[in-house]
Amino acid sequence: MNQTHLPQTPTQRQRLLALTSRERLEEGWAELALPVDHRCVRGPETGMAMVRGRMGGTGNAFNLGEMTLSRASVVLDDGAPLGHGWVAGRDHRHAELIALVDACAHRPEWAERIDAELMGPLARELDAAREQDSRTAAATRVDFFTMVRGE
Amino acid sequence: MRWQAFSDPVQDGQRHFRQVLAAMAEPGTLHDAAAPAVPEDAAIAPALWATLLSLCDLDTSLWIAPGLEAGGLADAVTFHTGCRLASAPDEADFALVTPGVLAGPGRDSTPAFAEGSDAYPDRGSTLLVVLDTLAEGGHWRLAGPGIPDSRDLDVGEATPLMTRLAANQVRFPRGLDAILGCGERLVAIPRSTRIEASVSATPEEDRACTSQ
Amino acid sequence: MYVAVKGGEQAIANAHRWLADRRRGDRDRDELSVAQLADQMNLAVDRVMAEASLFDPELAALALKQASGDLVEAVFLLRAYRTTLPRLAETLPLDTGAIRLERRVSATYKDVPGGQVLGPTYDYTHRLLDFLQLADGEVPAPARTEQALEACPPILDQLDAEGLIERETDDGAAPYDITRDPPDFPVDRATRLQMLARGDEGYLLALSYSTQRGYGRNHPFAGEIRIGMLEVEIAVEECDAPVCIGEIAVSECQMINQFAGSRELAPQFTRGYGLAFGRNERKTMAMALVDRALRAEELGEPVASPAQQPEFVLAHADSVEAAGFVSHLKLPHYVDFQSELELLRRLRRAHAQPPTDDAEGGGQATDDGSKEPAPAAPQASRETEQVAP
Repeated sequence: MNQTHLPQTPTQRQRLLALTSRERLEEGWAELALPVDHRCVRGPETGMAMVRGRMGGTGNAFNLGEMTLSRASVVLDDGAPLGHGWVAGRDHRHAELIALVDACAHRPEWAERIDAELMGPLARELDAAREQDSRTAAATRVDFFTMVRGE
Repeated sequence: MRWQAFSDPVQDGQRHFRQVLAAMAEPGTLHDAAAPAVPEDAAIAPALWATLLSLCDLDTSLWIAPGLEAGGLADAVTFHTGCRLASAPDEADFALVTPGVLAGPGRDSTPAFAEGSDAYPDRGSTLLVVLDTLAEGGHWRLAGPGIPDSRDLDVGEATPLMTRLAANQVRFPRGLDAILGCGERLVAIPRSTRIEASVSATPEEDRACTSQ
Repeated sequence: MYVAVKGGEQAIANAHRWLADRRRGDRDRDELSVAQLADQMNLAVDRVMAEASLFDPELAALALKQASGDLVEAVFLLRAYRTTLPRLAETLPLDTGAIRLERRVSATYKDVPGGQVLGPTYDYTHRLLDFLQLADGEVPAPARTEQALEACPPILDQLDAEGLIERETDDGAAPYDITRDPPDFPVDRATRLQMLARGDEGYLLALSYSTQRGYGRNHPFAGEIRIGMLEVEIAVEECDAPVCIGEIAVSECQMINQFAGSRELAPQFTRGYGLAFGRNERKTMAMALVDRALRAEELGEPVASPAQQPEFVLAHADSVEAAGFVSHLKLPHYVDFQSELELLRRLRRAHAQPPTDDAEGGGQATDDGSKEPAPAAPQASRETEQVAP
């Protein structure tokens, strides 16, 4: 899946940031160096999401079990629309960073920089990592060769 | 977001929950909530906002009476608590109302709330009632569990509310529990409380809860 | 009668201290880190997550460390922690067709689109102890091909397209949730699958094995096993579209089972389904077999074997409940036991005294010839027990 098309929608950014490690995101955010102060209006907080599966993969839903989930909502100094972030696990800072990026991306001039300087590289890194995983799995694909049958 | 959540969601939420418990355990006693401020144009008391923040979550549903949805309350409560908004009062775990709502526009049109069943009385609604007056004394006399002898309560012009709660006795253990809020002050009246209009009249002096 | 017993605080505190010491082991060796466990004991971590019904590898590894590797204890710890968290969301049902596969095999077709992908499996190891692991051997990086995997569409889709297998469609029913409302037998399939997904693997394995040995045979084929990473999405008020919150590891097993048909319906294969957090292949296979066995009544089969009886299977599947009830026998039962001891002594006294001629049925004779009524069963219920301290 190619995520490098710009500009990205808020849900595309949210996905990419949730699939990125917090350390990497922290680094990318620092490089952007957007002059911004924010405060949290909800969270950051950790709870759970009930994960659902489907019978037979395609049938009715059933409850498989829960997973930890953190979320945060932030507001910037200028009182622009809220930014939101959700991420699997218990890392409050990760959720807050996602919300912060979301809030900043409400400003068109920042959105452009975020997509070009943060989202672009992250999307390429994710694609590359997944390509590696896929090639590792492909190395365990079975090549059948038919033995000569008896007359 | 103009509606503030608790500054420390866990500790503040637990403290308020403990207050609601204490209020329920001793019906008619006054409790002062340390509640986050509500917007200027809000139609509900800070005490009830704190109660919503403490009691509502993804598993609960809330019905907001028309007229109380002011200042973006519905969005704020779903944002902060994740609770679902019920479209009808009888589908709600909690219902935000005024005494006027309980009076209904006509004699037979008071809203129907869930009162639970004999097997599951816990499925009854809890009313969160917005009041203009809430004080000790007054001409409503409460008695029952958690009340030594009796306790008198002043709820202002709220006859439809007290009549409705008094009717709990008829269908017990089914019924409605109520948390009354005025400003920062709250009082609880669970369904086990017996209510009657006491004979003594109330002095008219300075009854509003906000005037102290 | 209730006798409150108190005491033992110091003994308990010292027991905990000794436990911590035992857990730590020899101080001259490095302490295990939670990250190491999550990494190098990943299958134990996955099992703990599946049975605790909470996906969080770090917490599961912590539970495993704290429990000194006792899986049932670790599951209990994680289950207990789970109760402290609020539920913030429900996910969209997982689309297992979209798993980023690391393993995908089918026992029903040799040639399938995308091929048979073995992944990091123990299947073809020789089960010989590898003494190199006693030394610090270098581990080579995994092999990689030039090309990525081809698309691997779900294998049962082929059978489904031909109408050869019962179709699974979504009628939009909201699933029952046993963590919110206790199961009320008989329960529907969604409830059964939730209970099986958190059920003890050993227990499910034994039950599924019993079906293969003839106790509720249902002629299974492993249609497809898929293991890999899958993105999870939740619906939130703040966004119009679902939002992805990350990836989790999941295992899925689709069993293809014996036909059913009726006057109206042509014979077709039936299904059993297994799904679990983490890399839990054996668990999902067992789950799929037991799911199918529990569908006996629905599919008009005789319900004759243990694995086909929902109440029996499901009420005993949870290791936390089972371990709790078995373990509670360790709690003080002093009064219950005293009453049984008393009864036993009376019975033995009565037994030691030979019956006399005029004794008639129903009463126990005493040696002076008078009748004494048979001792009554102990009145105290076995469930009213004393707990200390």
